[in-house]
Amino acid sequence: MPMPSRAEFTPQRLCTDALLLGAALILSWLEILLPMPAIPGFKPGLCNIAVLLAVHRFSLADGAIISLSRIAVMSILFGSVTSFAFSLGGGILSLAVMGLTKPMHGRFSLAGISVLSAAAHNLGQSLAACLVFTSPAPLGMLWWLLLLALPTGLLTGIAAELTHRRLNRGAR
Amino acid sequence: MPLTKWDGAAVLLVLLLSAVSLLFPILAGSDGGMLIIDSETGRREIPLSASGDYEIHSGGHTLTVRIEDGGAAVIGSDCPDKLCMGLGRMGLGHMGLGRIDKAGQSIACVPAGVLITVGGEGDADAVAG
Repeated sequence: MPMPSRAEFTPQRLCTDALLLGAALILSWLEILLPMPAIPGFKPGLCNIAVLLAVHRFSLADGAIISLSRIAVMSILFGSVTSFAFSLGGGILSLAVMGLTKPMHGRFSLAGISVLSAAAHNLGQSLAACLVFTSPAPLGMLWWLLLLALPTGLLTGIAAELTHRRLNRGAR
Repeated sequence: MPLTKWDGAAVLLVLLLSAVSLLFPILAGSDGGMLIIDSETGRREIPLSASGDYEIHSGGHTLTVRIEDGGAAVIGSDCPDKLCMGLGRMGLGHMGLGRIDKAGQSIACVPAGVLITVGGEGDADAVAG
């Protein structure tokens, strides 16, 4: 499938982005409905499957639009100002890592890219918490958040990689 | 499995970063003197020697903080996440999660907008930074 360039906003790209944003919102909502019983408050970040796909099928800008719209909608529906700041810090840092690692897709699979961006997300959240509370104290939990980024990043990354390959096969 | 060698390197890098950031709670330092509770209703300071249960009302939620033996933990919360209590329940209290007693350690409750920090004798920020 010929990938549209950055400048080319085709109806197909618009529709795919809209579908991916819908998928991201539904996955975020599912995580609220199905809390993890073993580790309270722990979320696998399934919506990043949609963001990863947008970044790798189109461009970083597509991923950014989906990620930031998702954060805005989820914060308005279910969140607070504080949770919006935390999500935004995580979302921006994770997008930055996705942008930096995109050219290395091939060496990294989306699983590796996802692990790095999940770690960046949790680091961004901790930094945002430091800003919100004007205290370095939230960094004390960082080691634990980074460990959690491994299983969650691998899970979402493998799902994204398999979906990406299947979509490529379907397009031929 | 679609994994590559570089994915392995990514996992190792994150493990390494996690090990390095373990220094934050370990270096958090000396025993604290005051418990500082920042919430939407303002700041409240309670000495860690004043054992007892304290209720915090913030962001439409109620949290119960227990101070005992110079440390503090959130023992009750009506928010759906219960993250502030959960990590302590997993037996990770000694790593700066759940129970806090060292200057610079903290418990954050996002839904209620509450940050509970242990302040030291001097400037807590300088100790934890």
